[in-house]
Parts: sequence; C-alpha cells; structure tokens
Amino acid sequence: MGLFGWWSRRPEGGGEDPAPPEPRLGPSGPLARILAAAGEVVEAGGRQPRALLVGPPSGRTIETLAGAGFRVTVDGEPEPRPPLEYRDGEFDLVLAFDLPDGLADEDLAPLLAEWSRVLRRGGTLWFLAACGGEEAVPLRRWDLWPDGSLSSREVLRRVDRTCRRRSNRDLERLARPLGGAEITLRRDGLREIVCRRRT
Amino acid sequence: MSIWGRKEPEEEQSPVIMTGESGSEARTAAERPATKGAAMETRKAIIGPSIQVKGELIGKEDLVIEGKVEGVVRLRDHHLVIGKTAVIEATLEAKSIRIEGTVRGDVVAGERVELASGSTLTGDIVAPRISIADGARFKGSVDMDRSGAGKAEQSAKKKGAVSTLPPGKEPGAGAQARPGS
Repeated sequence: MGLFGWWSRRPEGGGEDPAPPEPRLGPSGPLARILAAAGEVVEAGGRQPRALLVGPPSGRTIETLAGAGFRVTVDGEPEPRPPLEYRDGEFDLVLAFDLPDGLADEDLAPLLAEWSRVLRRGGTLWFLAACGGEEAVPLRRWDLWPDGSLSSREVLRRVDRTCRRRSNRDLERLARPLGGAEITLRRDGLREIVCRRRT
Repeated sequence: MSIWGRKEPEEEQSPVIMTGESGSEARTAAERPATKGAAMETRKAIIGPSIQVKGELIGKEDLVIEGKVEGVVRLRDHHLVIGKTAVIEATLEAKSIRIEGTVRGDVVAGERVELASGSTLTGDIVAPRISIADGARFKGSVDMDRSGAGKAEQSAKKKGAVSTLPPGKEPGAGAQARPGS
C-alpha cells in the first residue's frame, strides 16, 4: 500500500488478490452436449460417467462436471508425464484445457497417446489451442460453467511457458492416433479441439 | 489519552448491550457472561508443529493440526484446519476442512473442503462443496454427492452397472466428427 492507499496499484503477476476472471466465452457446443449427455446417462441409471481433469484444478469446473453427473478425477500436475497411473478405458472424458499449448510435440505426442489409452472407446478428449505464435504465456486456470461456457485467469504464481504455435494440420496430425480431431475456431484465435477415441 | 492528561471519554465507556424488551437488563459487554455458543466458536484444539501422532484422533471440537499425523482424524460436526507446516498421512473427516499443508489420504467433509494456495492433497475428496485456490496441488477423485453417505453407497453399487443407452447417447458421442484429415 502506498501513502495514498487507494491510489496504489495492485501488484502485478502474483499478488495476493487474484485477478478477476476474464469475461466468459460463449458456450462450447461440444462440452454443452457432453454435459447434457452425461446427465441423461445418470438419470437412466447407467454407469456413472467419469471425467479426468488435467492441469491446474478449478473448483468451479469440478462442481460443473459433478453437477452433470460425472465422477471427477483431477490430475493437477502442471506438466504431466506418461505413463499415467490410470487404467485403460477408465474415463469417458478427458479435459486438458490449454495444457498442450505449453508442451513440445515430442512431449505432447506420448501424452496424447496416454490420454487415448485411458479413454473408453467413444470417449472424448477436449482441449484448447490458443497460441498465435511462440511466446511466453502464463499458466491459466479454466472454469467450466454449467451452460458449457468458459472463463479463465492466470494462476497466482506465474509459470511462464513458451507456447507452441500449431496449425490445424499439426493438430490433426497429432490427434490421428485418436481417430482425428474436430477443430472449432472461437473468438480471438482460440481453437477448440475435440477428439473421440474410435478404436 | 489526550495531551491534556484527561482520559478520553471513550476509554471510560464500554459498549452497552441492550437485552430484553424494556432494556432493563442492559449490561456492558464486560459484565455479560459468555454464552455457550460464543465459547464453542472460539474454542479449538491445536496440535503444534513439533507434535507427531499415530493413530485415531476423535474429537468434538474444532482442531488445527500443524504437526505430523498418521491414521484417522474424525471431527464429525466441527472444523478442521491443516496448517502450512502439517504433514498428514491420514483419512480426514469433519464438517469442513481447510488444507494449507500436505495431505496424503482421503478427505470427507459434510459441508466443504478448501485447498489453500501452497497446499498439496493426494487422495479422494467427498464433499458437497470444494474450493481450490490458485497454487494448490491436487491429485485424486472428487465425489460431490450432496445427500450424504446413503447415496454414496448406492453409487458404489452402481459402479458395476453397464450403460443401457445406445452408443450414440453416451457421453462424448453427441457431436458429429469432421471427415477424416
């Protein structure tokens, strides 16, 4: 606090007060459908669907998935390394948000293979590709809301990563072992990638 | 005290609390006996940073753990705080649980589990509400069933059930995939 406390600027990048979340992005169509479908399965008395959250955990996202009927498993490692400790086909949904952006291809490819392994046949891997170029970007924590919309903010302790720019073709190549990728362009160059395990 | 040596008027007065309709029972805060509720709110036990406990801790009051505990901690209707210096290898059960240190074990709360910045939890959470601060590390599953243990048992029985919906209706199968790359 300065002499004139109320004029002081909030400390940048790591102060105690978290920055407010950015305005929400519009609902994610694929995620909204997944949340709705999970609710139908639970209501019909089927096996409780299971979701794996990768990266910095968000209580809001956990509550949204749990509210939709998912049993949520969180792997909060900022840089997960294969092999993952989960069984083959254990999950219906893997949410990785923008974690892949901070990983080189040689690190991401085996991780995608692991995420494919732990998905059941027909299960979904969902992540974001946000970068427009090679640059240092902070690690973000993402909130998923019940209507499928997203918001995010920088984590308090900035962990800058070099963000890899990947073209749609790069993403489809990397996702080929999963059976391909559906890529949706959202605002500000944010791309939403959905992969479904087919084999 | 002012520069003139007089006591400030505020120093001679205590807050006056009016009770009862007529106010005839007005007493100062100092004279008012502590209520049972107020006493319970401030009362809590502390396990200090140098204390190590192995076994089962059961209590009927709030507890702050700053040391090392292995085993089980049960405070069914009270609040549990795991301090920054605490290292826990135990199952934790309480009304609400705030974790600031390191916990390896399952956490069960009737109201809320809170992971503070800098905390580390490896284990499963069962609670109707969960709060995870930036900087908290968590690895495990979350069960947010709000109706308590009864439904938890039912969901455990359902784990062996097979989905009765056709493949197109299962989670993750809603959107149409783009033609192959």
